Amino acid sequence: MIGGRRDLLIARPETFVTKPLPATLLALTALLLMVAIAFVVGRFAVSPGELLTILWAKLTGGPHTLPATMETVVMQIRGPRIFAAVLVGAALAAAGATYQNMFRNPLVSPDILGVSAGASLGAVLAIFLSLPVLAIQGMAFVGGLVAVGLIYAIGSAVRGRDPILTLILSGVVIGTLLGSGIALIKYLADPYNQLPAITFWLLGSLASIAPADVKWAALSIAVSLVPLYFLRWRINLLSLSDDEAKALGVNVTQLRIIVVSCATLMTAAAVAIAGVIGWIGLVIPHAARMLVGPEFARLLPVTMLLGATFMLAVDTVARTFANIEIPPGVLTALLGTPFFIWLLWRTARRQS
Amino acid sequence: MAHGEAAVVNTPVLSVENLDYGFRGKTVGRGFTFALHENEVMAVLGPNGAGKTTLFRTLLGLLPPHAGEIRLRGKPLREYSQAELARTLTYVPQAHDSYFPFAARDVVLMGRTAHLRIFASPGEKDREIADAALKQLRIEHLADRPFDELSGGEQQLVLIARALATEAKLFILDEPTANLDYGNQLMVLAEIRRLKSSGKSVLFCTHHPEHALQCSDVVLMSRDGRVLGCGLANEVINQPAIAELYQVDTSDVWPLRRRHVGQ
Repeated sequence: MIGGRRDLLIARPETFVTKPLPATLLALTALLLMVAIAFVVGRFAVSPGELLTILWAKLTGGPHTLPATMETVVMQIRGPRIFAAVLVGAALAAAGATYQNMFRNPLVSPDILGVSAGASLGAVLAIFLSLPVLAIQGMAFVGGLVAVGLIYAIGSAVRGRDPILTLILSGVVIGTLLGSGIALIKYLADPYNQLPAITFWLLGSLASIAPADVKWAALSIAVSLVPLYFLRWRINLLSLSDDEAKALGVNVTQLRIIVVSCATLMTAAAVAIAGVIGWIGLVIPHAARMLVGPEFARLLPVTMLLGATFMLAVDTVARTFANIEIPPGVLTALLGTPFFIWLLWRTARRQS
Repeated sequence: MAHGEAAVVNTPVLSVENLDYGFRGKTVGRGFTFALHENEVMAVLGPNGAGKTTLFRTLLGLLPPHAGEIRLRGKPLREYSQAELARTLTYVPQAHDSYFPFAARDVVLMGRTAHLRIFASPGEKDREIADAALKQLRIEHLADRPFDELSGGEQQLVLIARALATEAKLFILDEPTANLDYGNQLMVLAEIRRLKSSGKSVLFCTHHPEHALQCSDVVLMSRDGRVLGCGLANEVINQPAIAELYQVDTSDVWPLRRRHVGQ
């Protein structure tokens, strides 16, 4: 087991390339297990047996003898919240994997690229204008798209010696600019009604999830997944240099526009229902790449499964750990920051 | 130019007439005229900054020509669709660290992309072709290794295998021996000779007159955006020509020896 520790640190294909299926099944099992845990834990105790009874009764349409309150907790409260967590986690992770491939950089994510900030500004503006949820989602999408477009434009205009640094720095400055836009709206917002809503939302939360909102987000995410799934092979080639990809017959410009739009729509949909939950888009694709390698067709399902599991785990801790709800964005940052530092350290060490 | 009898009969695989090329707003090469025939290896020889890479990018359709005409098998380059072009001529970039550790087999499979419809993924037949390409270069054992862990020479071979998987007849290699140690340089040069014997035409650029002598039939010498000479390798590579090309005194190193590696 000399290679053991190293395998853990650096994704090595000797172990993963030939066996992507077991890893996918493992991730699926982890998700199902986490879903079961999320259903049973909480202030209102539900035993695994009771959970199965309720679910079985729901599936078959038959009766059960358990209290109605328990069914409400499972089906009306925990069910939608679990579904939302799975959705948000899968969407953020898939968007992160896509951006990383497209920007040829394993250190980018919706947060670092300013997509989250752009989507937040759009959404906060919509809350400020008291617009309906669909409009919040639409403006989050436009905001995210504008942010990623700006950063990409800066990156291609400033053809410096270090494109990655340019990208990250422009992400930081655009993110700051958008952040001050958010600050301005908070300053202008009605302090009794809108401001708490905005603040609460910016922290990220699945506590007040409404099934109707989740439906729209689920639709947007499903719609943007379809092209990503069908283009899964070509997305691999976006991680080559433009010249190489073009010479291999890929219409790089067209593909990039489709892929960015999809990843941004997914991020915006997730941001619109759950607020800003950082780090998932950065951390999870790395974990998935360590399991199955970078090939997008193999990476995408595992990334989504792991993202869903992670988000659900975080949300479950957020609602059960303390007497008050901990904002999940705080928890993901707590876990994500050390991971990112470790990643930087490892990258630097590998380059030297 | 005496390219042999076959050249007189056949349409050139690649013909370039009075080509001016460069970036937008800046022409770096003028009046390039040359032809590459079937089963021929041509080396483009010139010092750094001679615009060799820019010439190749123009030939690959990545930069529009500023003037003149490029034809592939008699048909103007601009009339090719992107996918059609990718199936006709293939590009082997310099070995570089990939951004993600794709397995070598996946890198080779990327060569199949121009044969696939936009929403399709490589199928069984594509996998067979990729494996055959790995086999032809005798690197099957590298198939599952991550690309970024391979040596520079191995990476170059994988990129050549990817080019083989496109099934294009014309290969364009950008400084295939750059950044390689001596052993790997010889290995890659031998592979270029083998490409020729498997029926491909090859255009590659290099800094080294020795490499041009070792594995090319025809040499194009270029300096400061002009063609200095073009013809059979052992005719155009001579001491005064090389001295002029690189603006150095070559008497200490002359004569260079012509030998075909891998034969």
